[in-house]
Amino acid sequence: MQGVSENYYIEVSISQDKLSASVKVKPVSDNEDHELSLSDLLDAVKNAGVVSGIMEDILYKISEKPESDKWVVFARGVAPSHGKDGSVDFHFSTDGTIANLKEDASGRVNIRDMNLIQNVSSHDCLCTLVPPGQGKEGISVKGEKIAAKPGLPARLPSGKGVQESDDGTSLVASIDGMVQWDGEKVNVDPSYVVDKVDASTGNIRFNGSVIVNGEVGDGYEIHAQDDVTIAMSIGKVIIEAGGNVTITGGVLGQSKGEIHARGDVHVKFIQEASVEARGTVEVEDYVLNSRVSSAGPLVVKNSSGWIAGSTVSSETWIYAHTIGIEHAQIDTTLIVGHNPMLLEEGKNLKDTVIERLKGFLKLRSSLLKLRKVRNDYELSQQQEQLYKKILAAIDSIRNELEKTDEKIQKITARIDSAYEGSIYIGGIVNEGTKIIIGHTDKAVTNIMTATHFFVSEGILIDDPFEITDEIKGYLNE
Amino acid sequence: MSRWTPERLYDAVSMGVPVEGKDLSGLNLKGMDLGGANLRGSDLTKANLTGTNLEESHLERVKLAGVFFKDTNLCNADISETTLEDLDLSTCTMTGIKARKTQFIRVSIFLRDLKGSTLSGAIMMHCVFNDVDFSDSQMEQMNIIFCSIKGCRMDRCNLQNTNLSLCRMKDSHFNHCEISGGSLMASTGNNIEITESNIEGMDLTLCRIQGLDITKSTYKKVVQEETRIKDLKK
Repeated sequence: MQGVSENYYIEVSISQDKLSASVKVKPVSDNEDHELSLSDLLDAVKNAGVVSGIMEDILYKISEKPESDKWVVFARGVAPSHGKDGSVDFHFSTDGTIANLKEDASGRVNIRDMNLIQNVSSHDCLCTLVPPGQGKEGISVKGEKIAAKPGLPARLPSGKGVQESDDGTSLVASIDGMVQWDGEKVNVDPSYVVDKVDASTGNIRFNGSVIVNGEVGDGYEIHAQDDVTIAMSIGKVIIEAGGNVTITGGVLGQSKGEIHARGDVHVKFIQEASVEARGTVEVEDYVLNSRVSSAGPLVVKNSSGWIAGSTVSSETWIYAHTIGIEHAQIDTTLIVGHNPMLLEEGKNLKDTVIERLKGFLKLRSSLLKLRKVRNDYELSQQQEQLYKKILAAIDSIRNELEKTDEKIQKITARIDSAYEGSIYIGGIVNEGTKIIIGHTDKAVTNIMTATHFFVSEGILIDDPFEITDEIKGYLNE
Repeated sequence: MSRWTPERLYDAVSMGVPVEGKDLSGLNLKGMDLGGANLRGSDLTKANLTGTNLEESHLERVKLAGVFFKDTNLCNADISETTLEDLDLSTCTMTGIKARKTQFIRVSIFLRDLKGSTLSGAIMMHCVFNDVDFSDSQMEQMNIIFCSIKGCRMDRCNLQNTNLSLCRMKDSHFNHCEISGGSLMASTGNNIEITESNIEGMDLTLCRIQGLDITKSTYKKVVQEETRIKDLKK
């Protein structure tokens, strides 16, 4: 756009994107004394349609000292801010190789607890879509709006064990398990499979099933919400499973190995270990110097399988070929009818009650003595305080005893309701064996053979052993 | 001397021979008639006394740990200075039993007649007595502590200076009793009758009772500290 004042040609140019405007002036004649007025400049700008972003100070300078034939930017518009592309916000660590050491309540860190597994539950939100930005519109030097370009939307990753939320904005776990990001997909796996458990994996805490194809290092722990399967023997290892525990090898616990299963336990042998199962315990070969308890049957399956130097208990029945070791007088206790840990807990509570009652009698005696003093003379302030404290202590003992008695009653009811089952020994019961069924017991002082122990009318009976279909169902034969 | 057998014991008792201080542990005395036997100080640990007749027998200071009592006749038997622990005696007959200074720990007795018993100086801890009739019994100087006493009768009993502390009582009767100097310290109760009794000097400290009838009882010097009694009938 070109204009002309009295003494100058005034040329205004608007950039192609309309975000800047420039002006160029040129004298009409060579006379250097010609003046350029600001109003002439402004008129030229207005005639060119520039209304926004005008820098009047620049126009003023041009009018003061016009430079011939030079383009000077005097107005700038506002460029539009384009929207950001959408993205995916992950709610778990996408780098699964970083250990996440945690302090316990006392501030200690167990370096075996590396927490490499990221457990998720069904319906847990794994990642959410961050929507694209819409951007912000700009304005040209002509005062026109310049539209912003919105960002491109992102897409949720796919994977196994996951599903999109109903509104399509997030990815949730469709199963319990371990979440992993492989760079393209989010997968939730209900099983955690490792070649070994050692310093590279740390302790395993997983809310699915754990499969270990190799060794589990001494001192390590596996805690699984479902099953634990180990392809080799284990040592000083703690295993806790919400389901079954299957160990292809045996357990050489060195007095520190522990297995706790809410389901069944299947193992080749148990030596110097503690095994507890809410289901059945099936041992292939032997149980030695261990403590084993099960709510279901406890079976040593091998035709020459044995139990020695151990305390084993079942709430239903026990079967093994041999108990104890000949001429070794090794103490072996077989318990059926109740969980010995429950019995022990009940006994401890009962002992607590008696101790508390003895304590009460002492308090009562002190109270009566103080009362006698009070009746005869007068209690000192200190004695008066002591008197009140004793009263409060007695009241506290009463409340505590009520609670303890409630617990005892619950345990007693559970013990009394337990099935008075059987102990089946297909081969030899050696000296040193103690049989406990329900509330009855028997110490074996002479070798017995092929015996079925059970309780009838409150008396522990030992009859000749005859294999039952129930036992046959477990045996390898 | 060879070990005692059930047959040998039976023969001795039949002949009236005292079997004092002998090892009778683990013997199966099921259904045996040992009425009037003198077994003082013997060891009956883990003996089976199912259906055994021990009426009027002398079992003072006998070791009774793990003894199996079922349908055992203990009428007028003397089990003084013994310890009964973790036992349910609900199938035994025990009228007139003598149990001076006997310790009853976690013993349960349901629906039994213990009328005319002698329990003086006995200790009962953490026991359960349901619908047991102790009427006309000598129960003075006893410590009955933290016991559950429901539907029991202790009419015409001598409970002088007996300590019934921390007990849980319900629907029980102590009528025409001598309970002077007794204590119900920190006990709780519901619907308790102590009528026409001497309760002079009784200690009701920290006692909580809903429904207490002490009609015609001698109500003197009764100690009530932090006692809560609702529906008191005098």
